[in-house]
Amino acid sequence: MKLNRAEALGISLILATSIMAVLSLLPEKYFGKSGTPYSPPSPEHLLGTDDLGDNVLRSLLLGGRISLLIGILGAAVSTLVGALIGVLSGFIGGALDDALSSLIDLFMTLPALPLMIVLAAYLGPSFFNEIIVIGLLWWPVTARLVRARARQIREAPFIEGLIGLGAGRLYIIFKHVLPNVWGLVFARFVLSVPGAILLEAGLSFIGLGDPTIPSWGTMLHFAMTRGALLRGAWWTFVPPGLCIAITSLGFTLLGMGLEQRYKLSTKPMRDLL
Amino acid sequence: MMSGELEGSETRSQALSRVLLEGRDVEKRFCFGKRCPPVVKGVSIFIRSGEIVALVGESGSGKTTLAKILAGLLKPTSGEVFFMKKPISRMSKQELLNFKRKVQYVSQYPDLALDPMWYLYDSIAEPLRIHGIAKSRKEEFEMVLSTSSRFGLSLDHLRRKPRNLSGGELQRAVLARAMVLNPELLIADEPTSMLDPSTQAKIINQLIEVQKERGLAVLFITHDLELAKVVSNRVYVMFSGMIVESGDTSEVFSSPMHPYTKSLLDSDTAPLEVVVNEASCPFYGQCDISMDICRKSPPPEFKLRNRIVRCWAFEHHRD
Repeated sequence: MKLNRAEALGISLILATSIMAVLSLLPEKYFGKSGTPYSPPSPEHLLGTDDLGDNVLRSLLLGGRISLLIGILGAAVSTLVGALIGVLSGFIGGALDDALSSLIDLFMTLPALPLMIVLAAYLGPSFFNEIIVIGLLWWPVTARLVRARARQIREAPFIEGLIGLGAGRLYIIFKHVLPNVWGLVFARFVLSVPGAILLEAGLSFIGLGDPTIPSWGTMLHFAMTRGALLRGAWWTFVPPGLCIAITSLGFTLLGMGLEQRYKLSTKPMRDLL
Repeated sequence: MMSGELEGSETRSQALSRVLLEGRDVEKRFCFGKRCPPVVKGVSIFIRSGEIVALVGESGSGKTTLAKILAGLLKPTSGEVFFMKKPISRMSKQELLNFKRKVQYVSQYPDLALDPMWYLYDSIAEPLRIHGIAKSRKEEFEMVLSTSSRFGLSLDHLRRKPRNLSGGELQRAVLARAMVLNPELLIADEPTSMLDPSTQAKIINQLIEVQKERGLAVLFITHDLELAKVVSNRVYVMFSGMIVESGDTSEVFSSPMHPYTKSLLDSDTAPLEVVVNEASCPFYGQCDISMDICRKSPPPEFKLRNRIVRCWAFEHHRD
């Protein structure tokens, strides 16, 4: 498999963030002791200190771990829900398809962020609630794409042949439909990660994140509420902001590449159908 | 060479002469909005074990729809299909599975008949797995390999995916996949229409060799009259959803009775166009021996010895 330039850049950005997450496992002593609050970057504190005198670099590495984890798990849940609903709706069809399509349309028209704020406020800030909220709100696009593909596969002559051979419906779904949508589902998963990371950052920024496990969004939240922004302590809020942007860019570039590959790999069949 | 083979299978088919699959008064309508025009109009057809039957007709005559009904892939609007004298609509799950094992359908699009994500080996082994036939991996491998090699597929082909195979190779693969279950009847829907003539001849020869060896019955659906003439024992001529004439291939081709069959055999140069008409006989508009009654009521089946013609002109000749 030969990577093009965008995919290679995407993968290196993702690798860089992953290395950050691994570095966060280093013992505390490597990051120096707490210093004076709001001290600017220096050899002792590479990214300076925040309002409590904590090392910003350490918070950044720890926060990256949380942001990535929530992003990936949230994307996984939403992709799973989307793929399941898409395959059922597209392959089985009939009344089930009508019901599920309406559900997809309904969720697509819902404004995700406000709903998410309400849900997060109602469920309370915790790690799992954030994942569940992201998972439940980020699936409709995946579901719609998978549904379209599953419908296409349902009409393909090889499915008719399988029915003629006496294959069961579940067998066909698991052995033939899922493998044929897998490339699309994987691309959608990679493309959902930046969405989930951004949503998590947004929730945390307005104070609905889990305060016991600070993420990049939480760092931005504290920079805002505790006066770092007013003091112009740029080292407390520029690094987490940049990290969010870079991570999202990495996943988006890779995801777009994967989607393009998938489209090309199914082209002969799409042309004929 | 081919005629010798055919005589062999002909005598066998007469010796067995057991009706394997039969469609009785099969009608199929497809609805577009409120209109539901019939595509197959009251067709009766049967296939005995071990014989090769050709179903000829131009595109749009309902051949494929009839084939799919006979293979159990479509439900007829009315009428019934019998497999070994048992109606398939009233079969138990077990009997239906047996029917699906004994009757194999090969579609006219070999490039779309296999899962694009699966290796050829797995696609060909799949029917065995669905029906739980091979007892071990080794037995499965031997069965797949022996059937594939009959159709000229090597181990190297079996390791590829459909997109890395040529049209002829795909067609061989689809036939091997149907034959791996050792069926009693193969319904082949224009199996070679997408191929060049020389590949076509090779594959047909291989198919007939296998047919002879295993005593397989074949329903050969084609618009190629020459092919039908060479390979089949009996022939059904279909026009506009009706079987207009049937009988032994040699007799039908040497002395066609129905005006449509006659025009088909004459029309080497000018293909017929279907003329839409409101008369009861679909051929009324192009027929040169049409009568008054042709417009009023559809022609019934007239039996003349071992032939059947649906044309009012033969009303007085019947036995």
